[in-house]
Parts: sequence; C-alpha cells; structure tokens
Amino acid sequence: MIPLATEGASWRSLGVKFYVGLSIVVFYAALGTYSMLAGYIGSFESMWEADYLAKPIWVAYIFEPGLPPTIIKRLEEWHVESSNEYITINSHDRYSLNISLKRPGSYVIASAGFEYLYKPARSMVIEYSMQVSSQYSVRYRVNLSIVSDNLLGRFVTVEYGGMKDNITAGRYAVLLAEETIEGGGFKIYNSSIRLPYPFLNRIQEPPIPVLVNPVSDLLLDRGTRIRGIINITYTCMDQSRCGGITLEVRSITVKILGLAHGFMGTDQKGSDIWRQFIEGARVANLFGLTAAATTVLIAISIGSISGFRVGRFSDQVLTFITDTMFFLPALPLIMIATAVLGRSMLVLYGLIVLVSWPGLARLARSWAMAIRGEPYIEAAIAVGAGRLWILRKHVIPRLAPLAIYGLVSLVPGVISTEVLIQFIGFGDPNIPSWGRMLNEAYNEGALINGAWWWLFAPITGITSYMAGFVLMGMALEERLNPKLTLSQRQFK
Amino acid sequence: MSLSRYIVIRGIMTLVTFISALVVFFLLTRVLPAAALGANPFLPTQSLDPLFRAVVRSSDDPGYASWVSMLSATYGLSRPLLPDQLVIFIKNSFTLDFGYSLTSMRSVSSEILLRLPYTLALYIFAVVIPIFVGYYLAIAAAKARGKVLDFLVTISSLASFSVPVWVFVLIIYYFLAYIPKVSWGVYILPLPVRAPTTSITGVHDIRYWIWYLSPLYIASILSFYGVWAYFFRTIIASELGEEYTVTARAKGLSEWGVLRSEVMPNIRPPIMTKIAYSVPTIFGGSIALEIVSSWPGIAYYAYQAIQNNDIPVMNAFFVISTMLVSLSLYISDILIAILDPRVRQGITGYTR
Repeated sequence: MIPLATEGASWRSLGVKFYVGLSIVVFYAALGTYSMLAGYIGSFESMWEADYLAKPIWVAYIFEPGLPPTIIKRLEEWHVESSNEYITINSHDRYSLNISLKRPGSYVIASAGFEYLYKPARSMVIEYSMQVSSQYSVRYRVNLSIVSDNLLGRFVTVEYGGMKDNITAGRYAVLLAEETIEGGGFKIYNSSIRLPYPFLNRIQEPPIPVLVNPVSDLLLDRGTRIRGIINITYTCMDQSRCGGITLEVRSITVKILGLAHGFMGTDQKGSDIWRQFIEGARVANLFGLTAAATTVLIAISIGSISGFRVGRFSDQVLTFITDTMFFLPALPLIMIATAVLGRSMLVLYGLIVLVSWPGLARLARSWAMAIRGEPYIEAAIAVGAGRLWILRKHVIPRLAPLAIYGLVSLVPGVISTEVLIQFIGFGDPNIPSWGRMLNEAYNEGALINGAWWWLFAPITGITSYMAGFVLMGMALEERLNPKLTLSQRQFK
Repeated sequence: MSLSRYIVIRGIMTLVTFISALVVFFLLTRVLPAAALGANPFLPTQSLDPLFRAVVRSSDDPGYASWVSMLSATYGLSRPLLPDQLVIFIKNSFTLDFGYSLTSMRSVSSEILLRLPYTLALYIFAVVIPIFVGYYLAIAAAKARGKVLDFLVTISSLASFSVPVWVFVLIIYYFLAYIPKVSWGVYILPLPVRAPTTSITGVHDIRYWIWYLSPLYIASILSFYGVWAYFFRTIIASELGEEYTVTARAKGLSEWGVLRSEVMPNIRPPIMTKIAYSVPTIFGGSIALEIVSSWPGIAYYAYQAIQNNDIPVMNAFFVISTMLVSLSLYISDILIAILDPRVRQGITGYTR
C-alpha cells in the first residue's frame, strides 16, 4: 500500500460500495441512539410483554392471520348481578366498586365484558386488588372467576394420557378464599397470577386435570366475551351482632399475552426482541468504535515510531513485540483471561485491544518507512528539524488516511470477537449485546422450538453491521492502493 | 544463505516467539490477577495465586491428601511467581507436562492428546480446503470478467467474509438439520446435541467423524473461501495490468496461458504470506466452531475447563494452541523460502 495515493481524494471517488456501507453503519448508529433515548429496561422488567416465543406481527399477518396481540384490559363497570335490596353502594366509578352487604347470604358481582376476536391465546396474567372488611366478626368465602360468556355451559373434551374427560368450560376461578375476620378487621387480596398455573386447576369445582390449559382450552375462543365475576358468601360468627360486610373492588386487570408481538417477536421470557436488538446495536456501536479507535491510536503510534526509526534498536524491539502479539492465538488468550480476570466489559475491551493492534501497526510501520524516504523529510532533517517535530508535522498527518482505513477495517473483527465471547458465555452478563441475545437464543431452545425470529435477529444484526464496515473498508482499500484501482480499470 | 541455514535460523526465531507468547500469557493470567490482589510477584505468596487457590479448592476430598503437594511440585507453587514459576511453566510447556486436571484428576497432557486429532481434523481442513475453493472461484471469475459469474463471486465472497464462521454453522444447523427434521423427519446434517465423544476409535467410526464434521466443514468453506476468492481476484487483476503480461499476450499466449505460466509463479510468494497471516484467524475460527457445535476437540475441552476453573487445562490449551499456530507459521515460512529465493537473503522474510 502506497501512501501517495491519498492526494486529491474526493468523497465522490469513493464509489458505491463505500456509501452502501456507510448507510448501513449510520442506520445502526441511529438505532443505537434511539435505544439510548428510549432507555434501557433490564431483561427482568421487560418480561411477559407478550407470550413466550410470540411471532413477529408481520409474520403473523402473512402466515397466520388471527393471532392475538397482547390485550391489556382493566375490567370496568362493576355491578351487582343478584338484585338484592340489602346492598348499599358506597362508591362507584369506572374501574372500582365499594359495596356493603347487609345481610348474610350469597352475592354475585360482575363486570362488563370485552370482546375477544382472535384465535385462543396460551396464557394470561390476572392482576387483582380487592379488600374485604367488616365491623363484625364474620366468616366469608370469596371467589373471583374469569368467565367466557359464549363457552358457558359447554363441555370441552380433553384428551390426556389416553383418557378422555369432559370438562365444564367457560369459567375459571383465579382466587378462592375462605376466611374469618374479627370485628373491625380487614383482608386485602392483592396479587398477580399468570395462567396456566397448574395448582389452580386442582382447586376448581370440580377439579380439572393439571395438564389442561385453562386459557386456551376453557376460556378463550374467537368472538367470546371475557368478564370477571366475584361471588361472595358470608355468615356471621355471632348472630346477635350481625351487620354486614364491605367489599371493595379496587382494580382487576386481565392481560392476555399475545402470540404476535412487535417487529421481531418475543423470546422465551416473553420480552421484546426488537428492544434487545436496538440495545445490541448501541452496544455494538459503542464497543466496536471505542475499541477500534483505541487500537488505531496504539497501532499508529507504535508503527510510526518503529517505521521512522527503522533499523535502530527501538525499531527492532517494537517490531519483535508487534510480531509476538500478532501471532499470539487471540481467542484462547481472551477466553482464559476473561475467566481469570473477571467477566466484565472493561476486561474484554482491554484484551481485544491488546490482541488486535499488531496488524495495523505493521502496516503503519511500512507507511512510515515509505514516508521517511521522501526528499522533504531528508530536507527537514538536513535543516536540523527534531525527530518529534518531523513525526508530528510530516509523518502523523500523512498517516491519517491509514488511521481511517484502520478504524473501519478493525471494527468487524472487534465486534465478531466480542459477540463470540458473549455467545459462548464468557462475556459480561449485564450488557445487552447481540452476543448475549444469541447465547440465550441458542441455549434456551430457539433452534428446538423453531423460533427462527429469535435466532436470526442477532445474526442479522451482526452480519449486516459487519458487512457495512467491510464494504467501507474495501472501498477505502481500493482508494488507498492506486495500483489496484488502476489495474482493475484496465482489467475491466 | 542456503535453505538449510535459513530453516535453522527461522526455527530459532519461531522458538523465541513461542517463548515470548508464553511469557505474555503467564503475565496476563497468573501475575496480573495476583498483583491486582496486592501480591508481590517476586515473593512466594501462595494465598493470592489463582492457580494455588484453585488447587486447594479442588482438594476438598480427603482421599486427595497429597494432591496439593503433588501439583505444587509440578508447578513450583511454593516459589515466587517471577521468575521461578515462569521458568518452570516454560520448561513444562516444552516437556508437555501440565500436571493433573483439577476436575477429572487425570493427566492433562493425556487428555489433550486424546482430543488433539479432533481439533486437527477440523483445523487442517479449515486452513487448506477454502484456499483451493477460493483459488478456483477466482480463476473462474477472472476468466469470466465483467460477466455475471464475476459479479456473483465478488458479492458472495463479500458476504462470506462479513459473516463469522460460527454464524454460518448456526444457519446450517437451522436450515439443513432442524427444518428437514421437522418438515420431513430426516436429518440432512446432524444437530450438535448428539455429537460424538472421545471414545470413538478405529477406521469404522470414521464415517461418524465425517458425518458430524460435515456442517463444520461446510461452514468453514463458506466462511473462509471469500477472503481467498477476493484476494486472488485482486492480485490476479493487479498482475494482469503489469507489462510482462502484455508481452506474453503479444507473443501469442492465450489468456489462460498467461495466467498459468506467467502470473502464477509471480503471485505464489504473496499468497503464501497471506496464508501465514490468516493462520491465527482461522485457528480462532475453528476454536469457535468446536465450542458452538460441541465437537470434542481441545477447544471444547478447554471451554468446559474454563467453566470449572480448571487452570492446568487452560494452560495446556493455550500452550498447545500457540504451538499449533507457531508450527503452521514455521511451515509456511519454509514454503515461502522454497518458492521465493529472495526471501532467504534476509533473515526477516515475508511473515516476519
């Protein structure tokens, strides 16, 4: 490679390859910036945004229309179904209800329903918050069920282990409590439960087999209405002092976990892959560019000193160090050193810089040697210019194109090493990189479950990001090596 | 300088590089962690040495009462890290004496030697075959220049070296193993879950080798041929622009004849140099392949050892890897010297 070729380089002469590469890189930089603005949500907080292994929306739209998206519905308009005159409504608004039941007996309170228009989903999350209180000591039994109107009264035949069983569909109790409170006491029911929850199958009346999924088998169907029903029955412990019980329904939310979610679907924990993808883009940008820039800095300084002092002792020492580091097997060293020094991003950064500078340093050395032989350097030496002055004034500026080329051509290697180390599980577990995504996808069964969208999201990211830099690097290489360009022109 | 003298001098320099690599490794993985904890590496401080702590942790079983003293004798653990243990480490590396594995309690070198054929079967293939594939594709592209084939070779080689080799193997597993299994109930290629163990011996089992290696072979061809196709194509293009080819054409040689008798002898030395430079990268790639596909070579063994903090195995893995890389470089150095007599004139050849 001859440095003289950089004279008169214009942006237009870089060619299509460069701009295609640049636009890919800029696209990922924009994604990374967007993810930074959107803020990082840890993998735990973003769990169950949709069902596990939900398909991307566009795939569901093309291949399997009718898959449900995630539906979050706060049940509204609670009202008393059994008309009983011994009821006082204390307060009432859209989502909550506070009533006093004056006489012992059985009461039914129901919410308005909402239409469910999709294929049955696999799971739902019920979040409820209720309070029962009384001025007297009472014994009561409260039961919160999810009811599907169209399926009420039907039987669903379920086959398991060679046996057939008819199960009443349309109603599933998520809370079943039978308790006693003393006078002036209260009980709060405040919980969130994800169905199917096999334990709940056994407390139904009648109990249903553990393997039956209540959500897809018993509750959801295309065009049904879902609502919540609360049954409460109470008796007074002391018949002489019996005045009533207060039930407060604060909020009951039904979240049907969708089977189609977002642009890239969800993973095994139901968290959005698109979000992980853009966070991975940010990490790739930050890590790749920072590590490559540091590497370029080290390589250019060592290479230019070595090339400028060619043949001297300092050159021999630097060349020996460069060669030793170049032929060090990088991956075994990084694998072992991350295990010994700790699995952090900083250690990985240091190790990657340590193993990737020698290649560029050799190139910088040959460039500096070529520059050193030029007449104006000799002239500068002749008029008594200092070594450092010549390095700073003449050599370093001439190495700037090499620095840009080095930066661009180092990023793919840096990224692929980082992603590989994360992928085999030796990286930083706290960094949401594409490698960690790939590690989770590969080890948590994306291949076995056929969740190609999970496996291919990080793969697409890695390959296209690297291809962007490779394209830019190739364009720059052609630009920096005039012999190559010239002969190719003749060649074509 | 005669060829034999060149070979000897290069051999000595390879040894020096090998020893310096061991020193770098020792400083990074033994001295640096101990020094980070506040130990003086020039004094015997066992309690801060990661290796000594790992040895002590592995000796909980009372049946292994002499375990610590035995390994301490092998590694000189009671002596200071620098320079005593470093010297012992280098000496042990040359005699391939790495003591005993902390998990399996067996000799590390025998475990490594058991797995070395598996690694070599992958590594040698990954180095050699893609060169030929890339070479012939580049020749084909050079013959059909400006046509569709040329364009396809350029584009596909670009795709080939943008994608890491282990990504290729994942893609192959998905499309050639998983999809056929789910759709038609057959495996075209095997999935890694039932990869063979080291118990395979004998000629009869070679077909299992080939069967489980085939995804890795395909991936390594797909991933490494691109560098070669692109490199050969550019170097042939740049040589065809030279004036001696014009002379050759003027003498009436066909295009193929120019390539074969005029260009090829000229480009062999830079090709060998390029091969020498790619050796560390390809070795890294074959390591990644082993780990991803659970192929029981030394890298997969080391991968398990790292998860168990089995430091003797890690050391052995690094030493053997460095040996393999140095040996490959030495061989390519000699080949370059045979191909290009100019190299022998100076000790610093193409690769150094």
